[in-house]
Amino acid sequence: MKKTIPLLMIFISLGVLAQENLVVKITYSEKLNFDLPVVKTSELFFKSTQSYYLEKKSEQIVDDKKFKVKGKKNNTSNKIININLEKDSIFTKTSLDKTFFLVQEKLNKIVWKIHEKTYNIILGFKSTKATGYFRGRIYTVWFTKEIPTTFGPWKLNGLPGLILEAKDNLNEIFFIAEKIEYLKKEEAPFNFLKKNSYEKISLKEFNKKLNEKLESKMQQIISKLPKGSKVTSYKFKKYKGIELKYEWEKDK
Amino acid sequence: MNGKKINKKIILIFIFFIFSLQAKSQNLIKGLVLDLNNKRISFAHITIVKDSINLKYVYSNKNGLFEFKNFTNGCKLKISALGYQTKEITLDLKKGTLNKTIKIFLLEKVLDLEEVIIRTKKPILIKKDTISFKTKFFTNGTEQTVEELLKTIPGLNIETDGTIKIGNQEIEKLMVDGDDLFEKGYKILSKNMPAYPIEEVEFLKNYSNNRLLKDIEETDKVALNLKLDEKSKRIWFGNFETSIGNDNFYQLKVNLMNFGKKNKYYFFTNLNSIGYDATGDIENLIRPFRINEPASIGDNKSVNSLLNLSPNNLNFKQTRTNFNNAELVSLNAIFNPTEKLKIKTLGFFNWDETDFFRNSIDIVDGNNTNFTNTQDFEFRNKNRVAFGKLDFIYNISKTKMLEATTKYNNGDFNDNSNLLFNGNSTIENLQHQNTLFDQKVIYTNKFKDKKVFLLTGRFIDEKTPQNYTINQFFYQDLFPANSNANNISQQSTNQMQFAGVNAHLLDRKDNGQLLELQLGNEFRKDRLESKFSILENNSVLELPNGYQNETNYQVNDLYLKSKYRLKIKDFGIVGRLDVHQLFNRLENNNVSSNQNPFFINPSLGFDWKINDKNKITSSYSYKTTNAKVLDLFSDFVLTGFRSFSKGTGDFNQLDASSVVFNYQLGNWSDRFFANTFILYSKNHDFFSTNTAIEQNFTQAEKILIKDREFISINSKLDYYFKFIASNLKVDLGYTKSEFKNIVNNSNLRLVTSNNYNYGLELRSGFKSIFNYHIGTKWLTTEIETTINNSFTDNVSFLDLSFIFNKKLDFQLQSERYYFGNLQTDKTYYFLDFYARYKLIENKLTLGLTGKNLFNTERFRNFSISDIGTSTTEYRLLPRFVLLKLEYRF
Repeated sequence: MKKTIPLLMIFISLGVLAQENLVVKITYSEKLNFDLPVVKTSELFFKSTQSYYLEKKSEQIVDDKKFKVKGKKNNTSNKIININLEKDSIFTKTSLDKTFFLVQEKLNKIVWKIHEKTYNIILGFKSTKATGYFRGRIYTVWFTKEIPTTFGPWKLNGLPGLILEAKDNLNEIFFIAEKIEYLKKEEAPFNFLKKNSYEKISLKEFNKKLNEKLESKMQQIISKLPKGSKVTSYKFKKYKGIELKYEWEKDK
Repeated sequence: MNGKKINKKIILIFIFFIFSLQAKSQNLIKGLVLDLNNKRISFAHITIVKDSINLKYVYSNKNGLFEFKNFTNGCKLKISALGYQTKEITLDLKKGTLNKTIKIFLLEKVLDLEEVIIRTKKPILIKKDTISFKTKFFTNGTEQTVEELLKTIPGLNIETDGTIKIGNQEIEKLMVDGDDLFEKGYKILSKNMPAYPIEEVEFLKNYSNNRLLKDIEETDKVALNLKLDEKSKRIWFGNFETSIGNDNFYQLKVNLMNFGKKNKYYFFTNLNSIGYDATGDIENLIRPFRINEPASIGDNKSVNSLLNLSPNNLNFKQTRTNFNNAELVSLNAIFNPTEKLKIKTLGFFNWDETDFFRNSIDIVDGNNTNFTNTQDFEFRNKNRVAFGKLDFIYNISKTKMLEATTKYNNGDFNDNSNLLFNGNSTIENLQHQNTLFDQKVIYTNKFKDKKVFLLTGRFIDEKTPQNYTINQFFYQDLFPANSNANNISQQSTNQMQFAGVNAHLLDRKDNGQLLELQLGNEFRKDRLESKFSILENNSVLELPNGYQNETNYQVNDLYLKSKYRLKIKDFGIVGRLDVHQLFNRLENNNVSSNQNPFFINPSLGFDWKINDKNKITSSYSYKTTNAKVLDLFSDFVLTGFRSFSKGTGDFNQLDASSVVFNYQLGNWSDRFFANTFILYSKNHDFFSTNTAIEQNFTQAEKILIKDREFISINSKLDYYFKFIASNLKVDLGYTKSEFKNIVNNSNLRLVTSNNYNYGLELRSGFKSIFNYHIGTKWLTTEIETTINNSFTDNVSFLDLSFIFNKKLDFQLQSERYYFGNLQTDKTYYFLDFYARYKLIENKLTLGLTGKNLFNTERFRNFSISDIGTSTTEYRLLPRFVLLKLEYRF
């Protein structure tokens, strides 16, 4: 007992971080290959119970040359995804038509298949491969048990370790961790959504709003066509994003 | 008694039985994860492992509790949580762990609050002042030398002579793993070093040659650093390549390298007869020229030869006209014997025998003189150059540095020409040597964080004696008394000694402004002696007056140079004021005179970065320069078999003003990049000539004339077309220059020359087997004097590249030259091909090279001057095919 107190004091003076004080920051490179390849830099901040995923600036790539997308001068995040394990929910801050929304959904339980025999070293950490289906895509990820957290980039979570790399089966989405930093809570920002009061909405309703807006835009365009031009067929495709299909949608 | 005992036993057994049944049916393990302060750890990860197989993953809830069923004996639990050390415990049923909550205490983990940064797999990584390119993303595997590798990196422009530029700016040096062997003579490295060990190419912007000047001096210099892959470091590696073809065409190249941390060695040799000049440009190795660089006094001081018999530079690949037999051996090393001391040694020996063939017809049509001369030249030049350089760099402390450089060059040249001049068979012979000794010492002291003081001392001694003989006598009209003369000789010595001291202070102020002050004294002594003799066979008939020189010219320049750079946000202004007090002394054939001119050279410039895409720089300067020894010797000297020339015989200072304007739109890495450059200069006085032109000889006398103008506008555009994955380059330029001279007692005549050039290039970046590069360039030249002459030439090329698979690749290069003014034979085609087959990957490669497949043996060129026109025909290396074998180790 006498020995443990000085030992503890030594530990503290060495800069030990108690669990609540530790915030881990991962910088990801997010590459989306929908119509035009776009690369974004994003940051994931997490503690043991919550995570915040911030999407930052994006650049378009042409082959290996990059050129900046016009208009995105500032460095503030457009989209923030907050996974809260205690509340069992995912909160997303996003904007539509210049209004900010806080979209809420239940924490998804992705069923992962862990390929225990696989082995890779990413950023110096021993990683294992896993595959899982989520909203229309099958993701193949590499996660490391050496960082014991269930979080990962974007909404990917539920593995016994941090997800360092992820890609989908259609080769349209890539997440690659570039940098890992350990921050002290006093230095680290961690309450990205606390100050703001956005309009709260559920994910299902938000998607409905999004599709409605796109449809009305399409109609606007058709209405502006000059006299004499005919619209022979009209088919409206849904907004294409990372999530292709939702749980509440029936198979068509 | 017995019954009670038995009952107890039975009850006990029964209880045990039930207990064990319960244990088997429930098999529920509960746990609680805590830290050393008894605080519950939520969302910790628990892995159930049996026989090294991970059976299940469980998480603790927000109260730190977890539970799981179906547990068998011999399992281990691995518990980990963020910020804590992972713990492993073995579960043992017998110890009565069932239905009791196991308390697991986790120790906190001592974490390094250091960043973990990965080696990014991005092809391009941009850090402050450095842009790195991973070569594997850009190359296609056909690159043999570093020069070919650099051609694939976007943003680098390699010119036809091998000059490497980032955008529009030439690099200062080409380093390997941070060490530089050759400075501005980098071509010797880029043309010989193989490309395969290079993993990354770094562009270093705002580069300072002197590490203590980094971030203090204002520099937009750029440099390249080649980084080697790990397996090529600290081991001896290299390659050996031999090619053999028809008609004695051969090439042998050997490279041997070892780039360790302490010592770097690079030995190479190149023997060839296929026209390839492996030294790149020996001049840049022996005499690197740095403008306005701190500690560069004496860089621009060298001896100029009176005459030379060497082939002229053509707008044409030199390898096609260079009939050579060259041997080059070079030994270079960098030693770091202690942490503070670095020793660099560089040495090369070059033997070369070059032949050059030229036939020309010159039509002179000016001021009362009309004649036509035919000249058929066959040059054979033999030369031997030996060069050595020793560099000591001693880091006295973190802020003080001492550098000493010693150079020695010895060249021996024997130039012969077999000339048929208007039917007269003539043999010219020029034997000349060049001996150079150069010693420089630089002391740098960074006495404050942003202030540096440099003290430089330099001594140069250079001699170029020449001995020139012609076995004909063409100057009957000049020396009518010597009717029996049948040959002439001219012996000349040209020697220079230079001693200079320079003290330079750089003060980078806190607000970013930079003040520079230089105080120095440079002394230069030139001695020019020429002896012209007219001979009959072996006896000297006459040493004519007016054709002998004994000139001693001493210039002592005491100067103070100041420069101030002001920067306000994105706008910068640079003001310069140089004050010179010269002490000149000229002795021409025993007539001496003195002059002490004083002059001031001001200059003002600005640069404005309007935004990320638009940059403007502009400057105005007024400069006075002092005449050089070749401008002021007083008697005639032979500068060619039919040209005499003499200087003004007196002191002269020349004044000139110039304005430069440069506008850059975009950056080289953008899809669209354009750069426009305008230069206007006016010489208030300049040296021109008063020439007497006769069929057999010309006599030119230097005269001082006032006012001539020069303007040059050049624009380069770069645009990347995504839909065809190709990059378009457009190059437009216009130059107008004026000249005034006197020919055959005319009045001062104005000669105006206008040059227009316009060209475009399209280059593909396909990821497939095939790639192309096509381009065309037009050049229009107009010269106006009393007569007007003009012509238009065109050069086009088409390069095709096929990479069939990892082993086999094929390149085809074709060119087309069109000369507008030739009467016949206006168009010339050339075709070269290169095929390569990798027998054993990275070890053995076979190659087949064919050059000039259309066997174009001669090609003719048309040019105009202010006194007439000339048609020249050059002989080309004939078609040859080489079989090549390369072995890497």
